[in-house]
Amino acid sequence: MLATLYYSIFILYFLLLLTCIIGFKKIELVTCICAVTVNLAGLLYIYTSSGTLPLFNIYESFLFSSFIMGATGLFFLFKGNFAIKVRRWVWAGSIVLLLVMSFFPKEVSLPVYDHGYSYIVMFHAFRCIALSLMLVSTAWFVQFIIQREMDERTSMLSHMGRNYLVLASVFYLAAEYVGIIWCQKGWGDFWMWSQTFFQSTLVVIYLMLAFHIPGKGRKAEDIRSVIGALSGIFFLTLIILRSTY
Amino acid sequence: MSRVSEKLSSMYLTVWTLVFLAVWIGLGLYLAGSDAYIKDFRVMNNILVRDWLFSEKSGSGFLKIWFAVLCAVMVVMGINLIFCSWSKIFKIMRARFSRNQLFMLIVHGIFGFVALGHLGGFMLGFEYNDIRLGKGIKHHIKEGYEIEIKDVLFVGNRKALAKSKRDISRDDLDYTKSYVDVSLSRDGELLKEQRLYLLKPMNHKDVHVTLRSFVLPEGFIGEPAPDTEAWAMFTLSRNPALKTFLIIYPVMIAGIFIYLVMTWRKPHINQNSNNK
Repeated sequence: MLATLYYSIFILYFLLLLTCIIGFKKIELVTCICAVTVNLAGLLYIYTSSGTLPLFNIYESFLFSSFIMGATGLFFLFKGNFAIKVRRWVWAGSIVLLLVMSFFPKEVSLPVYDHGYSYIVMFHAFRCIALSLMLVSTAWFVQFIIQREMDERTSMLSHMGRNYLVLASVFYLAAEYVGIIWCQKGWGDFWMWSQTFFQSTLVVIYLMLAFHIPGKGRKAEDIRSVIGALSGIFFLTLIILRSTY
Repeated sequence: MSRVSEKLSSMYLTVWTLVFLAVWIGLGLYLAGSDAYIKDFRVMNNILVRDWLFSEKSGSGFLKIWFAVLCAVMVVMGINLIFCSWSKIFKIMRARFSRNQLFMLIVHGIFGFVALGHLGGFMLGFEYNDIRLGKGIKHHIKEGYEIEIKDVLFVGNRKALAKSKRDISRDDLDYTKSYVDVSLSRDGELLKEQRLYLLKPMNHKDVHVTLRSFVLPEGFIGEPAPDTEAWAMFTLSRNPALKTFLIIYPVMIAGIFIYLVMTWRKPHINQNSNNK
C-alpha cells in the first residue's frame, strides 16, 4: 500500500511538471489539486494506520515536505500568472524529493515511545516545512539565474527567493528552539556535542552566510542567488547524510 | 572611523568568519563520527564544558584545541557584530537609516545575546550526566546538592531497559505512567520532592533534575526478566542563563519574521510583469 501510494504521488507530480512545461494551465490546476489531495490522503493514511504523525523517517517526512511544496505551488497557481516558470522548479523540487525517497524503504517509522510528545512533533514538522520552503526558495533563485541573461528586470525573482529563504529560516530556527526545549527536558542540557547537533548548526551557518553576502552590484547578486539556490540542496544532502547513522 | 574599526565592522569579515566557522563545525562533524574521538565527545557531553576544558583528566588535547579555536572564531564574530552595529548606530544618528534597517539592527543585537546565552550554558553552573540510581540510593555532588530516589515505577517490557532510547517502542514503555520519586536537598536541607517522568524534569530555581531514561541496575548481567528491578539515569544540572536564553531566542525568531513581513514587497516593481 505504501509503495503504491508513493508511485501514485510520483506519477501525479511528474504529470504536473509536464503540464506546467507544456503550458496547459487548467490541466495543471486539476493535476495539482489531485496531487496535493492524494499526497494529503497518504499522510492521513499513515497517521490513521500507525497512530503517529508522518514526520519521523525519510519516507514520511519527504511525503510531508512534498505536500507542503504542492500546497505552495497550488497557492501560486491560484494567484494567476504569478510565477509560471518558478512553478516548474517547484514541481521539479518535489520530484527530486520523491526520487530521493525511492532509495529508502517505503515504510512507516518505528512507533518510538515518545513520538507523540508535542515538542518532538513540532521539531520534526518545522524542519520539514523549512526544507520545503528552502526548496521553493531554490526554485525562485534558479529561475532568477536562468532569466537574468534574458531580462534585466528579474530582481523580483531574487527578492522572492530571499523572502522564502527568510521564511524557511524562521521555521528552521523555530525547529531549533523546540529542539532546545526537547533536549533540555529530555537530557538536562540544551546542547550535545554530536553529529546531529553539528549538522543543525551547519544549516544555521549556511543560512547566515546566504543573508550576509556583501555588495549591491551584479556580481554580489549572482553570488547571493547561487548560495540561495543551493540552500535547499544543502539541507537535503545533510538530511540524507543524517539518515545514514 | 579608523581603518581598523572599518575592517572590524566589514561584512567581508562576517562572511569569511562564517565560512571558517562552517569548515570548523564540519571538522567537528567529522571528528564526532570518527572512532578515535567518539569517546572524547561523550566525556565532553557528560560534564559542563568549562569543567571539561580545564580538567587534565578529561578528553584529548586536540579536541580542546578544536573547542578553543571554535570559541576564538565566535569572539571574532562577536567583535564584528559590535563594530558593525556601532557603525550602523552612527548612520542612524545621521538619519541615513531606514526603519527596516533599524529593526534588523535590533534583531542582530538580540542574536548577540542568544550567542552569549549559548556560551553561558557551556561555562556557568554545573552539569553531571549519566547518574544511575535505584530505589533508596543517594547521589551527592561537590556543589553540595544531593538527590535520593524514593521510588521507581516502570510500566512496560523490562527488555526495554537494555535498549537504546530510539529503539524503545510504545509497546515497550508507557512514558506517561512510568515515574521516579526523587528528593533534592542541599547541605542536608530538603529543597524539593517531586515525581519525575521522562521529559518532565524537576526544576528548583535554576537547578534541574532530569530523568533521562530507565536502565538496568548497575552490574546487572544477562537478559532482563519481568521481575528485574528498574533503575533510572539522571542528569543533575544548573544553568543560570537558561531562562533568559529561552526567552530571548523566540524574540529573535519573532524579530526575523516581523522583518520579513516588513520587507516582503520589493518597492516599485510589479510582480506580474516579471514572470510571464
